[in-house]
Amino acid sequence: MKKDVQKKMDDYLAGKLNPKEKTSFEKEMEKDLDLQKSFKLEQDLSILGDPSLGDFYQKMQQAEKRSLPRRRKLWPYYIAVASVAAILLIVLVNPFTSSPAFNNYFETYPMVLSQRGENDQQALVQAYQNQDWKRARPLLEDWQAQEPNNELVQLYLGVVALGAKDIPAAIGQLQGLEQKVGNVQEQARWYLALAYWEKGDLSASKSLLEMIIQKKTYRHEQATDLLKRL
Amino acid sequence: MRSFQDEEIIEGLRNSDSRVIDYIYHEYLPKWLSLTKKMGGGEVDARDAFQDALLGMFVRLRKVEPFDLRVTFKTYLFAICRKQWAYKKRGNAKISYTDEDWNLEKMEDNSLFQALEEAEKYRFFRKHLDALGGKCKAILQLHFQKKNNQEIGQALDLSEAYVKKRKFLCKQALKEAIQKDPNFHQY
Repeated sequence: MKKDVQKKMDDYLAGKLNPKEKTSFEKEMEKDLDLQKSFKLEQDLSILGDPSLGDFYQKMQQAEKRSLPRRRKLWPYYIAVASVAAILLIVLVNPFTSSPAFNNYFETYPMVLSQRGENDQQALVQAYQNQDWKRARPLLEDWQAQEPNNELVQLYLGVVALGAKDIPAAIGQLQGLEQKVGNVQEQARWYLALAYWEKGDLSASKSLLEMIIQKKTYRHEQATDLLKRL
Repeated sequence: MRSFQDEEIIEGLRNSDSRVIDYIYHEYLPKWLSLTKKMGGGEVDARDAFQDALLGMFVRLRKVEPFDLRVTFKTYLFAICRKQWAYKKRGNAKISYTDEDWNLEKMEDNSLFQALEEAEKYRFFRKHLDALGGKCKAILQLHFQKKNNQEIGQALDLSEAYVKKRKFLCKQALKEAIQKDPNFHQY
C-alpha cells in the first residue's frame, strides 16, 4: 500500500479528515475491494491498542511461562566455563588489542550529503560525523530497508557497528562486501581487518592487512604500520 | 500459594489480578492438560485453548452485562476450554464426559461467544506483533494506543521523522505477516 493511502486511512480512523476528504475516501473504498479489505484489517488491528487487554495478556503470558516445565539449571556450569575461557583469552591474546590502540587506526569512512537524497540526510550525516552510533544506526538501517542492494550503505553500517564495538555485526556487514568485487571492496577489507583485530582474531586480521599492503589499496600505509604492531 | 473461592476468582479476573491468574494456572492448567491427554490431544493445542478461555473470560467480565456464575468456576472454565480445544485439536479425541457437562449454551449467553471471538482475534494479531520484536513492536504498540509520532519519538528516544518512516514500514510488515497466515481467513 502506498504511503499516502496509508496516511489517509490513518487520518480517517483518527477522525482527522474534513467532511469533503472523508466522503472522497469513502467513495474510493466503494470502488476498491483491496482498499476495503485493508481498511477492515486496519480497523481490526486497533484492538492491539486496548490497554487493559494488553495488560491482562502480559500477565497471562508470565503465568504461562512459569507453568512450563523447568529444565535443570545449567547456567552455573556455563558461567564457570565462560569465566575460565575469558581468563585464558585475556592471558593469551596480544595486549595491543586494547581500545586506545584501536582508536589510533579507526576513522570513519567519509559520508557526504550528495550520497543521501532524502530529507533526513542532515540528521544521518550529523550523527555519523559526530560518531553518534546510537542515532546513526537506525537511520542507516532505514536507508538499507529502502535500498537493500546499496553497498555503500552496507559499508557505513559495518563502520558504525565497528565504531560501536558490535564486532559480530561489523563482521557480518563487512565480510560479504570484502569478498565481492564491487565499489567498496577495498574499503571493506580495511575495516574488516580492524574488526578481526578488535575481536582478537589476529590471523584473519594479518591475512587481510597483507593483501592490502601487497595490492597497495585503501589505507595500505596504515596497514603496514598495523601489521608491524601485530 | 493462596487459594481463592470462585467469587474471588471471578472478581480477580475482572480486575486483572496477577495473583488470581497465577492461581488459575497453578490449580487448573495441570488438570486441563491431564484431561486433554486422556482424550488424545497434544499439549500445544490444550495450552492454546486454555489461553483463549482465560482471555475470553476476561473480555466477557469487563462487559456491562451482569455476570452470573451458575456452575463451579472449574466447570465453567473447562467448558470454555473444551469449546476452544474442539477447533484446535489434532487427531481423534475420545469424549469421556457427557455432552451435558460441556453444554456452554446452558451456562452463558451470547456475550461470552462474542468475547471469545474478540479474545481469539487479539491473540492472533498479538502473536504477529510480538514476532516483529524490537523497535517495530514498540513503535506500533504506541501507535495503536493512538500516540502521535512526536509522542512515540519521545517515549522511545527516536526522532519524529524516523518514527514516521519506520511506522509505515513496520505496519506493512505486520499486515503482510497477518495476511499470509493460513488462519487469517477466520478473522
